[in-house]
Parts: sequence; C-alpha cells; structure tokens
Amino acid sequence: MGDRFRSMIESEFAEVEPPPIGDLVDNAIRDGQRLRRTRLVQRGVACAAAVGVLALGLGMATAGLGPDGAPDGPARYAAGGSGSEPARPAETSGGEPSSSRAANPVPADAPTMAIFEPEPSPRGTGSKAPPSTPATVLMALQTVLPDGPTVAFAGSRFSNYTGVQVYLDRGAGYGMIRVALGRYSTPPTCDSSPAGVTVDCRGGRGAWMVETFEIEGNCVQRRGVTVYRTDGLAVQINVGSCLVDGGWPAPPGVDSVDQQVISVEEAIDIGTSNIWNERSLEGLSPSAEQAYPSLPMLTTFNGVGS
Amino acid sequence: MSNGGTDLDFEEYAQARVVRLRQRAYLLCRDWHLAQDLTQITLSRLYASWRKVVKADNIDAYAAKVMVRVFLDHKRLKSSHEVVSDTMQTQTERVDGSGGPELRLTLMEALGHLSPRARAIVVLRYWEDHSVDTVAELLGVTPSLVKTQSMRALAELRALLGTDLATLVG
Repeated sequence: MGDRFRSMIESEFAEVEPPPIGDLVDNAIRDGQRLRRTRLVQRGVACAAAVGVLALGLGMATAGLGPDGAPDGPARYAAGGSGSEPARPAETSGGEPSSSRAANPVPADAPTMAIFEPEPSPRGTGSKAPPSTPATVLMALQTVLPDGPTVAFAGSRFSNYTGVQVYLDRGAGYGMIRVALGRYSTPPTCDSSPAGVTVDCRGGRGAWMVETFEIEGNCVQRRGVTVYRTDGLAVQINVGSCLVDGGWPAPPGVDSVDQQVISVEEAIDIGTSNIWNERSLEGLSPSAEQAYPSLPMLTTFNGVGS
Repeated sequence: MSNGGTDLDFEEYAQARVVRLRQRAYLLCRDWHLAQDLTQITLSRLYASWRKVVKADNIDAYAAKVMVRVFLDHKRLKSSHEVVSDTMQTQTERVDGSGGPELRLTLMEALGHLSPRARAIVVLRYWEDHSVDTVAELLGVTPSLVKTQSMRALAELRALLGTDLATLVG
C-alpha cells in the first residue's frame, strides 16, 4: 500500500511545477533568529520582573521606572541629562531644531488610512475585537524591529483594533513607527482608496493581501503597509516623517524628519512576520503586561478617535 | 551530515531537507504558497531550538511533528474561511495511454477532500511510512484513533478515486 501510494504521489509531483524555493532557508534562519530573540526577551523580562518583585519587597525599587513603563527607559534618558528630566531635541549646526515635532502635526482634514474605520466600514472589510493589548503588540513589535534604541512608547485601544507607537533610531535619528493590529471578517479588496492616498496591492508572502500606501499630506502615516494575513489578522505598519509630542519623554539626539526610519520593504517584512499570530501573541502577553504596565494611551490614532 | 549544534549544521540540514519538507507541506495543505510558509515556519522553529533538536533521536520526526502541528493549528484558525464540500469541484484533465483526454481525479486532489487530521495521518502513514505508534505520537493522539482514521480515510479515498483505487492498493 505504502509503496504504491508513494509512487503515485511521486509521479504526480513529477507532473507539477512547484514555485522556486528561493530564499526559504535564509528566511527561516532569519525568523528563527527573531524567535530566539523573543525567547531571550521573555526570559529577560521574567528575570527582571522577579528582581523587581524582590526589590519592591525590600522597599528599594520605586524610583527606577520611567513613565512609559519601559524597563530600559531611565538609563537611556540619563544620557541627555538627569533620569527624570526629558532631554531636549538636539539642534542642527545652524541652531534650528532638526525635527518637525508638534502636539498634533497632522491637519484635521489630512487624508488618513485607518486599518479599520469606525463602523460601518467603507473599506468593506468589517472588523472584530482586537486580539491583543497594546503592551503585547508593543512587545511583539520589539522582536521584529531592526536594531537600534527605541523610546516614546505609547498605545491605544479601540473597539476594532489595537495600536502602538515607538520611536526607533538606527543611527540617523529617531523616526516614528505606529502599528495597528485587528481582525478582519471578510477578505479585503484593493479597489477603494481614500482621497489623497496612493495605494498599491500585492499578494504573496503568506498574506491574503499586502497593501502599501503613501500619504503626502499626513506625516504620521507618510508611508505604510497593511498586511491582511491568511489567519484573519490585519497588521498595519505606519512609518512617519515627523514626531509627535505626547506624554512621553522626548528622545535625545537628532530627530529624523526627511527620511523614514524603515523602508516600505522592511515594513512589509515586519507586517508579514510570524510573530503576528494569535498563539505567539498569547505567549507574549504575560511578560508584556509586566514589561509595559502603564503605557501612555493615545486617544486618537491614525485618524480614528477623538 | 554531522548534525552538530551550529548554525552551519542547521543550514546544511535545512538545504538537504527543504524540498522534501515542502512536498510534505504541499500534501498537507494543497497550496504551494502555504506550503512554502509551513516549511519556513517549521525550519525557523527548528533553528530556534536547534541545539536541543540535534540531541533528539530523530530530527526528521521532530520536524514532522512541528510541521503537522503548525498545519493543524493553522487549519483550526482558518476553519471559518474554509468551505467543506462533498462534491467534486474540479477534475484534472490528463492524457491516457491512447492519446485521448481522460478526466479523472488525482490522488493529490483526493487527499484535499479529507479532513486536515485525516490527511495528516495518511501523509505520515503512507507517504512518510511512519508506524501507527509514531503517527500517534507525532499527532498527540492514541494509536487506535490513528488506525480508525486511516481506515476511514482510505474508504473515502476509495470512494473518491473509484477505479483508480485498484492502482493505489494494488
């Protein structure tokens, strides 16, 4: 039975032409490295939590946490001054601040690309309750971001998606990345793009659809990617060309305003990562809640909220 | 192959097995893109635990366990998107020995009509040639369940393939 079965399958395989294997092994190694990093982060967070509990028990650990709850925040800000004093943005040689940073740098009528609009959804995808808390999404994001210091953590939670914000510095100054995660009910289509938004869609990478977009009039969502995964989750990566002032300490050093901190292709890599599946997110959740217990909450996020 | 615990050893193992792993993934999911993803996820998990994996008696069995579980998890999550049908939606046109076109279902297409777990059992039992006990261990079920589902799956394949089953069972 087995021999006949195998020979029939072998002959059927011989008749089909599978797609090329390409960089599958290299990609697997890269994903495996991220998985290792995630596990290391989880172990580190668990150790830090244990040490923190011990220190609290001794009454010695109340002064060390930053307002964003990030475990490494205070040490980083210490480089720009005292640990409790937010560092000022650096100035260029001409004395002008290098960043465009404002409480709300996006005009009220600027075009936006919300991952899910408030109901009813004009993009026709429908939506459900988000699968994760901001802390979990932030920890998942940290495992797939390129190397570099990160600051200005913030989150937001709406009925149909969870959002997080992080500033990343890869050596040329901080740039803003905002990620939104939600569930979609029906497969999206690529036929409706909001006014002022340039949209391009493609398939592959294990996703139902990968949608890239550019919005010239919106520096928070200057470029972005929405990945509609085959498991029903949608991940939107927004790459800003400005920074937003909020309830978090300003990052030290030069802000990045003219160039995005990650490319669209890197944003696609992040959006199609295997970290964005419900099982991985569930696994991250306990340590994420300990690592980021008090994230500042944004009341508006990429055009949604008030 | 030395199968030591270094990254180089992993790469050597992965390059040697990737085609076969992807074929197994394709038999499980019947979609080359998803098969690519299943293979990549399997290899990435192997890589992440490689130092432990190389100490296992049978790395291939470990890889099979990872892949089948990822596949079954994926099918569980995707179950709301999948439509189960008891009728033939497509048939493959092939050319028989006399040169005339012959419409018939291939074995791979017939596999696609089995439930995900039954498909996994058939692939592991008859394509991978694992014993009932090994399949039960890989899937985390009892040997009696593997036997029962194997019989049912074969009966279903028999019904789907009709006269082709004579070739299959010899």
